[in-house]
Amino acid sequence: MGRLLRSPGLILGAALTAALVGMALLSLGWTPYPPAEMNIAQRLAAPSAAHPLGTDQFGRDVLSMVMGGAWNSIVVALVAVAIGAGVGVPLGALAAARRGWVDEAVMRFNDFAFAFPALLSAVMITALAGPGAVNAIIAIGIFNIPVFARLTRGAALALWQRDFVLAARVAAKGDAAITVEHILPNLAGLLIVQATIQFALGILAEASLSYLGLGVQPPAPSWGKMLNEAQTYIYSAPRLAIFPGLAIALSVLGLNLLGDGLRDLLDPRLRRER
Amino acid sequence: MPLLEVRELSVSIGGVRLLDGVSFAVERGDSLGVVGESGCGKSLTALALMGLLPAGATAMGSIRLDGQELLGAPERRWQAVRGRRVAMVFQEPMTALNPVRSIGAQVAEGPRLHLGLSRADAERRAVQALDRVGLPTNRFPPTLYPHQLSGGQRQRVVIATALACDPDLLIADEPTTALDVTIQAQILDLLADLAGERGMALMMITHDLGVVAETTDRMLVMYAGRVAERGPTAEVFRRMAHPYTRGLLAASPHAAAARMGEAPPGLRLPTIPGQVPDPAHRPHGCPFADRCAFVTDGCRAAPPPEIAVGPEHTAACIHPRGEPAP
Amino acid sequence: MTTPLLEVADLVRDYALPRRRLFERPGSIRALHGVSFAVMAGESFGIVGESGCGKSTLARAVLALERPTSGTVRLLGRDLTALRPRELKAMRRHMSMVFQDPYGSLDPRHRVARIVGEPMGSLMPEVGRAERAERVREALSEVGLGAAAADRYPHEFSGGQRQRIAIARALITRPELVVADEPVSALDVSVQAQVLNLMLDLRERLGLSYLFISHDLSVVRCVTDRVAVMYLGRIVETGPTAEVFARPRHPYTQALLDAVPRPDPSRRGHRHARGEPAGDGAGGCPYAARCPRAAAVCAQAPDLAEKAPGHAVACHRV
Repeated sequence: MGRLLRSPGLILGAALTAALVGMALLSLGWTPYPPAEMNIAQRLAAPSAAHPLGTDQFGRDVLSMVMGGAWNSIVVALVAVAIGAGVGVPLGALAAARRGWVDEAVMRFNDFAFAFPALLSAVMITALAGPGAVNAIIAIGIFNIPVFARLTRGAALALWQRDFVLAARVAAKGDAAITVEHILPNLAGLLIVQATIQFALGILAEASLSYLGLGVQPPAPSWGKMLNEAQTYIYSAPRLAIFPGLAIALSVLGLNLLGDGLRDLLDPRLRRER
Repeated sequence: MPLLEVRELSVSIGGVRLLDGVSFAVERGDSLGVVGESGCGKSLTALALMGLLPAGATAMGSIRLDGQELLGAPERRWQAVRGRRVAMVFQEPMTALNPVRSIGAQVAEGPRLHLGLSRADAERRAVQALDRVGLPTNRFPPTLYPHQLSGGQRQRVVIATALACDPDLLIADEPTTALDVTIQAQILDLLADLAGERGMALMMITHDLGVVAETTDRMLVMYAGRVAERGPTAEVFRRMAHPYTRGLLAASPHAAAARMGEAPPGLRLPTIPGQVPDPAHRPHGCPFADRCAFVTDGCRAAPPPEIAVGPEHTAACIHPRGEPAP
Repeated sequence: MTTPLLEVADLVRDYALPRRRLFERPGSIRALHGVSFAVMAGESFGIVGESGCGKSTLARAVLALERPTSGTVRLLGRDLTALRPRELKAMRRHMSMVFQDPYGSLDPRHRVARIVGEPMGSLMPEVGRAERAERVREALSEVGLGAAAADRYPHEFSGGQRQRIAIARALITRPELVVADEPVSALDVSVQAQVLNLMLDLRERLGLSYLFISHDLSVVRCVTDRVAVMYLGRIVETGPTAEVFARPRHPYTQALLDAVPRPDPSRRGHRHARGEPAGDGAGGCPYAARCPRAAAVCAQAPDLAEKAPGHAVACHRV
């Protein structure tokens, strides 16, 4: 516990992430105004008591849109990471357990996937398959798979050489049981850390897709879309770009700090345990 | 004046006192053995002598090299000493060498840095050093990389690196523990030969009483951060006064095997009951009291002083054993 | 003559080397050159050698973790190399292993009870949970650890205690044969003695047999009845431990015994034999390159021949 409190990065990261998640969950039940509600009379209002972050060109409350966008970003990133880990981790674990041609096949698939620039390919997929949240999730998710597969495979290979795994083999434990009972639990820390990093990247990816109009579709609020629409007003009302941009930056920062902090927290403790 | 004089050296890390008032001296050309098990502080002593204590460690006391105080000295003074006057050989030959530099370059580094030799001169010196440690250039060109050598060969390179600047003192911290038995023997022979021909002092840190017996003239036995017994090696072995030293020898498989004669297995080895005390919770008084078969009330009252038990031979025990060692 | 508990006959193990060129056939290195020996029930058999002698490969072959290139391994009369996977699994309850590294052989994320009971899960699935817990308690007490140890994690124990936990795990299915691969090498001297005594106690109490692998002759002397000395994949000498220790005949065994540092100050100044294990000597005696007694006849590999009752040596010059 003492270590936790001594790491400013971890605390800040955790705080920012908590704020992000809190805001997103809150938006499900309540936002100051419905994010899509237009109020032309109040368009382009500066921040005030009634509208803490002001309104956009259609009179929509910016704060409400940022909150709603948070939920959207989280859902897309979360499901994408879940797809990536859900498919990537078993693939990597399988490759490490089986070796031989299975390992070769998984590695070549990984090489192939990494050869494509992730974001551009996500753009291509959503452009071809049609814009929308579901396709955005799938596209981002697909490019998370090789990340988790490679990480899992590398770490699992090292674990397979450990004596406690050999002891399990001497006791006639099967490869599948060994993977589930010994390999994966010892990888948990590593995977959690990577997941937070991929989560941050997922938010960034979703914002990029929405900016291009390929992510969630109106009327659902989205930080990327807000950025896009703010372009025209960049000189007259820069806050319309600053607020969603800040939201993205702080979320990504918070998640990265959380990830780094978790890595530092988990690793030395495991080392100290020896 | 002794080459190295250590007085009341105490090292604490995180508020826990790991070394407690250790004192000893090393003369020029001496071979001193420091023997103890894990947690006794022997490796920490070696690190303190090189100014390589981990961050967060506080050291008190005095370390004098040729009369010059080193403890608390600025880093620049330590750098002038390390590698040049005091060199160290570590336990793990696999990790002591830089895998991406050739062995010749690594051995030559010291002379270039400390002796200001030109590249060509340093290389010549490196070749000489490698040759002397049993790696002749015809079979082991200096362009070889560490991964192309066996464990024993790598340890020879490490020794060559340590010797390249002709240090006055070589500290060897378990230099052969990670090596095979027959290779161990060769490395120990090499160290003894090198120390002899250069008049270099050798400080041999080990957990193995056999190594101490065969390679040193004087020895220290350490337990729980303190010196338990010290003296000329032959004298200490003749009469092991501290109960811990006796226990250590009795428990060693070597001694047990020698005692067995031609008997079949089944004879249990004498053991020292209990465990080494946690440094954070060392008992008041003699640190060995809880495990000692001869403990009395006086033992727990205060840490025992070092009592003379023979010529230049002392033991930190208020009732040292008298009979010759088992 | 009763059937040996373990009988290894002409065991050969080759390892493929990585290919150097894409279409070249990979070379191979021979780790075991036709090793044969037998361990009787209740006997403790030592395997002594340095790195590269093949003792780890031998251990893996005996435990059927790897398939040998040729040769047989008979446990309780059955050839492990010829069994089908299900039959092999059924045989595994008769053997177990204790590893060298007390820090690496226990899964840091499992509690002790789970670690010790693990073999029962796969080898004796018919045993119920209650009985399994009881046997774990029994095993822990047999190695001198209290029942409280069962709920703790490995990192809460010292090296010697972890090795006891590993031994408890090795005993849980009441195997006849325990393969111990350098079980005390990573421990402090005083702790070594405790663990060796434990192993001797267990042997007497449970009638175990050990295949005790070590580079340390003194340790082997204390614990084994018979011993085989290995060098570069071959057994060069074998016989009753006391006999081989007192009257070593093979030059390598002699060098090995001489190399062990002895707590005897009169040995100060003693110098030892030189040389390192070279690559596989083409066909001849593998030790010839280092041997002080090498002669022309050593160009032909010597066989193990009995020179005294029960004591065999592979050397032409003895």
